[in-house]
Amino acid sequence: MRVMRIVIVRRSRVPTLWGRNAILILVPILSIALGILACMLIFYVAGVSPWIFLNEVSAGFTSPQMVRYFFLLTALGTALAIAFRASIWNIGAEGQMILGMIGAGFIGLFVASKTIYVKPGELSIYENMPSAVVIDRSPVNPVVSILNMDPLLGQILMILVGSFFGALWALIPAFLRAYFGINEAASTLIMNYVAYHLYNHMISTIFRGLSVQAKQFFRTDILHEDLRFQPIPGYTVTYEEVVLATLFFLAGVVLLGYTSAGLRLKVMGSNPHLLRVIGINERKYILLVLLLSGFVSGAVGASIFAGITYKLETIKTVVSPPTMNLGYTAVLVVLLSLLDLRLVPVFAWIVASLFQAGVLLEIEIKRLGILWLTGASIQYLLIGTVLMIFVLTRILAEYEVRVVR
Amino acid sequence: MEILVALLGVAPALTYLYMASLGNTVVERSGILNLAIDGAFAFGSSIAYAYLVQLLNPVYSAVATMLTIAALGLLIAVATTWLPLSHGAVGLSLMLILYGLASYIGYPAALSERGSKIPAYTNDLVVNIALLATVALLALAINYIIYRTKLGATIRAVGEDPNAASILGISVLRTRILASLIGYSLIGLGSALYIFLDIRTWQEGSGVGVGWIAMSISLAGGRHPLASVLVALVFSYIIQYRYVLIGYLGVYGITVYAFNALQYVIAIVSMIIFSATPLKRIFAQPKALGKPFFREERSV
Repeated sequence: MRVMRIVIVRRSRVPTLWGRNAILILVPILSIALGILACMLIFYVAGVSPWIFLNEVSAGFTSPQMVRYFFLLTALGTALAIAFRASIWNIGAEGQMILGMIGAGFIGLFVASKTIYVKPGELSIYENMPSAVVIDRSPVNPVVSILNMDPLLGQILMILVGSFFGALWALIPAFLRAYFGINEAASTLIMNYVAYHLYNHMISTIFRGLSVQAKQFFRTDILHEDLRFQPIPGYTVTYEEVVLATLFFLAGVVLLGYTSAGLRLKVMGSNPHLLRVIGINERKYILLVLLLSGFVSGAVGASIFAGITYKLETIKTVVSPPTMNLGYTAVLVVLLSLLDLRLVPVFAWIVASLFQAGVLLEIEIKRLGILWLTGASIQYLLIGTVLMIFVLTRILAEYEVRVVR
Repeated sequence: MEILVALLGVAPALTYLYMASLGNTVVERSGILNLAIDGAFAFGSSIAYAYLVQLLNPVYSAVATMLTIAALGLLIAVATTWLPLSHGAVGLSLMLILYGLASYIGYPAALSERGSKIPAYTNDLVVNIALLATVALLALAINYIIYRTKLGATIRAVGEDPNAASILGISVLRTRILASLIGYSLIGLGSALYIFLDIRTWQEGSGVGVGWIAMSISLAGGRHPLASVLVALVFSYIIQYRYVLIGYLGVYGITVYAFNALQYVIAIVSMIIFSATPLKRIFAQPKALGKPFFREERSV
């Protein structure tokens, strides 16, 4: 008797749907569904009933907070899609965002405004001054934040300097890849850790604020109210984030679809030999692609500072940084979109909903008294399982599993 | 004499860093791009602590961690060899899952009351000498296996050109499974020792990032068991003596965070030194590293 064997063979015929590989269309949807199921199981073991789990997941899709993640992930997805199309695996959006936060923090807290100690008796003068905000009413050393420039100019500067810092940060691994051939997936990832600790170092030294809480908790002072990004009423997303994400996305579509540079980037991803043969400097494009990717990530970092946190606080554990691991989440968005930038918003919406579901789930789980399921574990498990199932099922588009004798 | 005393001081850090980097060396020599290493180390640290809380015996817990992480290696070897999958994608998605599982497993253990029953451990002279001896023996043993045995030759062959190796009758899958089992056992043991000898407790984020340091050591050491010992020594000095160094450098505004960042900066610098010098040619990376090996089934 011959033994049965499972073999994986290349498909001779590919089922099509609307002229495309049908399985390729189904795979992302299937992996999201299976990923949710797998997580449901993991949480069920931890004592969270599937009903609560599914309830929170569906709530994630309609929650107004989800909209912010949608725009942030669309921007980050654009940044990463450009890089991934050129086969440059930028896993360092986290670090680039952190540098964006540092850049925006420097402008917001020290250039566009400044914080000063005042005498307790002078507080009433500053309270009536239009450009001043009292940020610490300590009876000994009150602290006041004073605007140095037009708030709109300050906001623009924050975004620009944040983007610039992010771009510079991304240029380091770009340079290492272009001139020394160092794998950028590993170097961008390691650079994230450099960024986290550098951020902590800066905040606990030169960026440390004047207010009592800032001194006590190793953080900066709070950003002047006029410099903060304004949320759209009813949502948490800010006007600035909507504008930035839309601009970046459109610019990305134009770059990849309608410019010669975009074409070369795509060729670099699919056939780098051709690029070398026709005499194009590959190094230049490696630098360009990471520069753009870091620029956008830096802007997202700036908007996290000016739109969510308003202050920079030391990171206690590297698994839950202020960037909320969105840099890794965006990798999932781009891979699910099959590196097609036009699909990024669709999957940014789905993943943003799951991300928000994770946030809601954490609150619900805390309410149930399960203290040991933390936000980090919920997010990593959700992103990781969907990604893993996607990676595994993705091969079904080209291969099939057969049982032979 | 002073150098010897200092060497004893860094023995714990040297041991866990070197073991994990040696694990990476064996795995990558067989052609598997090992991007799951940091996830494996973080997960290993958490499950080592969880085992310790349950078993209350460091030796049993270390063995259990080794077996668990070796099973993970088996999974990676099979997925990247038997299926036409990207090593990078498998490694990174696994890394995220493992970060999540590390918190999932570690927290209940950290909150458990049994934590107080863990036997006290003092870092004494005998232990440190034993650790240094282990490092030396491991370095020689793995070096012997890689360069002097048939298994080592097949591992290197599979890492350089799996197709040619396969035609010559070597089972690529079996070789990579063996390499991953050895490599991931070492990574698992390293992560257990990291918990037992160095930080002695678990909190969220423990072990995250250490895997990358180990990978950098292996890369900067040219994936050579003996050369990596020297690189591992440099890193263990930085890690062990950062608090001492801060005593001197603190007045210049250097914080512990700056030292934490420094480890990773040195990791990157060591990669640059490796890539920009003739070392790159002498210790060339396996040619098939990270390339999916998938033999089409032609008989059906």
